[in-house]
Amino acid sequence: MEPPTRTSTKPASAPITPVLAATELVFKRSSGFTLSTPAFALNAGESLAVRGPSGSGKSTLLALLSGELLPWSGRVFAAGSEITAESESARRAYRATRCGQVFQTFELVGSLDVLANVLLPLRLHSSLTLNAAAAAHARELLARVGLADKEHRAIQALSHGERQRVAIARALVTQPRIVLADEPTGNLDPALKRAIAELLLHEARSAGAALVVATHDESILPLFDSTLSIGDLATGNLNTGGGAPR
Amino acid sequence: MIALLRHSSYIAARSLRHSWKRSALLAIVLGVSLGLPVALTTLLAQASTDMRARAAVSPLLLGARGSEADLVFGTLFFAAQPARGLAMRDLARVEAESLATAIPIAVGATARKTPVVGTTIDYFAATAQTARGRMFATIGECVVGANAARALGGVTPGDRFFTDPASLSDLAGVFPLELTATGVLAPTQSPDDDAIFVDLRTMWTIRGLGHRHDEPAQSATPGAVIGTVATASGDHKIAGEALPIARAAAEGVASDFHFHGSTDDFPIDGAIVRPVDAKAQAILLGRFTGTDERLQLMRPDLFTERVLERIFGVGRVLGAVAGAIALLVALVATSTFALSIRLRADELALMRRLGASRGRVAVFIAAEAMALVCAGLAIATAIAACTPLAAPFVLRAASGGL
Repeated sequence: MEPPTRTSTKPASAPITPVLAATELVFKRSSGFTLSTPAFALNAGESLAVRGPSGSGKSTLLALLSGELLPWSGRVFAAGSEITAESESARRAYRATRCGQVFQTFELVGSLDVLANVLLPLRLHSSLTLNAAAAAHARELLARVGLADKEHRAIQALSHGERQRVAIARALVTQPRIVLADEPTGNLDPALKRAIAELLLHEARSAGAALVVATHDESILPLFDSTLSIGDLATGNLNTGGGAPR
Repeated sequence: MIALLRHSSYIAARSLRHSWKRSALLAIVLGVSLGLPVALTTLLAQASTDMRARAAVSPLLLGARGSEADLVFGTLFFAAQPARGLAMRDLARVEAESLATAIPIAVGATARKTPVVGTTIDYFAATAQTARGRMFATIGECVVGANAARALGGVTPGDRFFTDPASLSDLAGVFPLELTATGVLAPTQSPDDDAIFVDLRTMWTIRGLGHRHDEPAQSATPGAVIGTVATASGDHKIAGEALPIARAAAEGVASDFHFHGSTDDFPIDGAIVRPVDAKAQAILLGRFTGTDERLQLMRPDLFTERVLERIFGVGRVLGAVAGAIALLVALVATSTFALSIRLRADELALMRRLGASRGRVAVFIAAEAMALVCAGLAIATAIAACTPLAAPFVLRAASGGL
């Protein structure tokens, strides 16, 4: 089965193969929790906000898109392959090489400094190489997120906003085609939320990566190209018109 | 593979450095628990070598009948004076018929708490010792062991110091005698290093059997002369208790020291007996086996082997205990390390979420554990390597000078 395609919100002369696409997905837990989402697709540089209350399954959806979890039904196509049909090893390779991830609690390693945290993904998979060029790319990313002068700082010495910037740089260091961010503004002050969301969007677009962000922060939703609403045991509601949710 | 080793080393090094106190503690605990049994074995081996070497100095020991331990530790290790001694005339029993030579040993005195040993110059020939300076020649002279010279504040030939009084509260007792160091012995790694050696006559003087005083007739001290005895050779003054007894062995007065009574009756604590051959040794040993015999002639080497057997028996138990403790410590260290890994579960889970395999994460943990084990082994090796160097000091401190 070919991955679902959709027409970009901007006029185009030919169909574009999406970087990330999913058919209707269903995932159930033994606790009775059921997640059901509609089909969707994202092209390179596009962004999707997944909105919904806490416990609605936003993080679970991201785990399905990263290949950490497999759906009960439905298929996920990412970066040119159907990850739901691949082995665990292949899905792990996908996460390491083609899928960058940002987490709500930053998930940085305390024993590593800023630059080492950004470079960490390159140490985790044999298909990735940590060399001078990669280190230069990491430094460039740190400069882009405003941390050029803090590459050797301890993580503990950074503010929450700075830590999330490090996490964004880490997510992009492998030059992924897909970036998944789980509540990236959830632990930040209101004043920082929009700035970090804009930074994430800007960097993902600059890198040509499709971006999926799980959030319950209504204030940043207008920044995304489209919005997917999921609720308690409800079928998701996809707004592909861009901007504000329906 | 090389990249994996590089990455795992890097992650391990950063993690260990980040929690360096825990890392150092674990490495030290591992190192000490592994190094101690090795150190204990080395110390026991060194102690046995020292004891055997000491026993070899004296093929036979002559002393008063009683504890062999008292005799050996008193006369060979200068640890304590045997409860009973013998008289100089007793040496004739082993030297008769030229079966052996006997070197008398008298102990029990100290100078600044360093044992003073009375013997003859033959002792140094028997133990092949040389001295910086010269050996003692007259009453009041001494040669000092290498360690004792340091303990006494860097004694050099010509220095003088007093022996310790027998009892500070006993005003009527023996007063200190001033000794003059004539030489410092070369180090031998034996109890000789920690002793001061004097001539037997000096030891008897220390014990109050010999003394020096002014000529009673010329003494200005009232009561120095309590009477006169007329003899064919002239009048002899009878010295009174008030006649001052000199304790200083000033230069040129050694010949003024004299003893009242026969030196054959003077006491010694034991004697090193060197038989001329095995046959003479067997004959001599047979002469001291009677049930009413008041002396004993014994082989220090056999006694030493019995002591060592006991020590090694205890050593084996200690070794087993140390081994069990090492095992226990290793288990505790492993548990502590495992706990620290569990506390970093989020970090390891993050690596898995970012695409690391279980195997790669395990390699990271193993690298950290290996680094700790290597540090522990390095500490254990250092302990094992330093033990032979420290053994003489440790053994001396542990045995109180034995």
